[in-house]
Amino acid sequence: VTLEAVLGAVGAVFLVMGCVLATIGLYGVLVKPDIFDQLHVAGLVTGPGVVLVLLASIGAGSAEIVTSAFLVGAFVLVTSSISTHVIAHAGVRRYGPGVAQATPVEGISAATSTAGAATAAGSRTAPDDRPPGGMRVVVAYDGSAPADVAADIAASIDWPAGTSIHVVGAIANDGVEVEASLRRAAAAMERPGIHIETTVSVGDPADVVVNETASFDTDLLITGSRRRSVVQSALGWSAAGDIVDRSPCPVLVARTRTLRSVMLTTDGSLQSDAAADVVARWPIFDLTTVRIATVAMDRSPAPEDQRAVDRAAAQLMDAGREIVTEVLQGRPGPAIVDAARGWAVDLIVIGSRGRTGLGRTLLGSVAGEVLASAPCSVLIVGPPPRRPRMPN
Amino acid sequence: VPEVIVVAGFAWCTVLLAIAGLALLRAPDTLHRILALDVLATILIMVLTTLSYLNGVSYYIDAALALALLSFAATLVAALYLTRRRQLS
Repeated sequence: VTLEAVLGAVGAVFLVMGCVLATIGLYGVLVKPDIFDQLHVAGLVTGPGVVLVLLASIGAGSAEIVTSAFLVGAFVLVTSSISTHVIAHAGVRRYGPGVAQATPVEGISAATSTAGAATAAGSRTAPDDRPPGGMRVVVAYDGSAPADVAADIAASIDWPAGTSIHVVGAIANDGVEVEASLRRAAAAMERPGIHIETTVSVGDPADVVVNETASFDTDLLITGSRRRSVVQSALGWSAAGDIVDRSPCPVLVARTRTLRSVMLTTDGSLQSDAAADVVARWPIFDLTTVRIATVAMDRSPAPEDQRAVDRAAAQLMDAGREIVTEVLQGRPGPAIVDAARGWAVDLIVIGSRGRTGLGRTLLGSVAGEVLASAPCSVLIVGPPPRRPRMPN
Repeated sequence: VPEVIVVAGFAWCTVLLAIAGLALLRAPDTLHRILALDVLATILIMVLTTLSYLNGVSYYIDAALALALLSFAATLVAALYLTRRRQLS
């Protein structure tokens, strides 16, 4: 038995073991939902898995390969432990140690603050939008059950006089007839003082709706919430998400048929201010109680979190809204969804930075997460400079 | 190392690479993505290393070294950025 044969055999064993460990680790990363569990199993890949594969170089019979491989191995041994530490550190800062929880923090925010009627009369200015008092609304309708929910919510909202509602349908290539049911849905929205139009175009539904919304100078787009297929949800796609990403105006994704209670989420950012502005200004929220919530990502709420809530609260109280404020804890997406479920709100209003495509995949979006798992309707408001307003 | 084992190892690492890509796409938020990306880079190092054994040349491993360096820096910066950042969305 030569030395070469022995080294070859040992190398083969290392290679196989490395592959097996990497497989186990990767499987764990796929099935474990918690970041700390994932870090644990990922250590199998970034530690022993890759190091064993590199050690297998002793069987390769080339000095160059062995040298390079040992260099990489030494480097990986140092960096993988540092990487794991840094990710775990970020996880603790973000979610708190252990399992994330979404419990309201007692005593942090004064539980209830109600705007007096005194503020209501003076500071309520007329909306700066062009149609005096009225809104411009587009309802996306494709004849499906989710689209019916969108149509119902549009019919149930008490629109201000002068509002025009544009019901838009698309005939996709499969040629399903939507025109009759679209006219019926539009007829259900008819009220005195409200102007209703219908359009049916041929093409991809998302394209048709987004184009129509852009050309109509719309304030609000209402769309149904489509169920995602297994493949789509694995890849993080949804039809509603596509429309939300591309819409030039705020989008209401309808899952409830009414809008009696509203929850506004804020993080003190520009897009959150835009969301607060929408709730403060739009007459359709005149008679609803608004819960304002922010999520403290650290273990203890920071002053910034309270400031974010207070600023939104001031904005809404100026507009004469009744409000309740709350600071939540935990991972932002699940915390908001859990709170919405606990309070049984009909609508979550959330600002979105409006990232699309790859940016969203790599950086994540709380708005997208809320949209995907919320039990109620979601109103997504983009950042302010999306549509510059003309001063009068 | 017997040729057949090296070929099998290379093929299997390539499959793992695809699965790691799936894990990256399925990650629910930023921190999970950072981890998935780290795992993906590590598996890519494994693919390059087995490729190097297969062809009997060392420069694939040199590429793996550069990749390890870059992915380490990327993970570090992204995780630190996430730690410092406060905003929700």
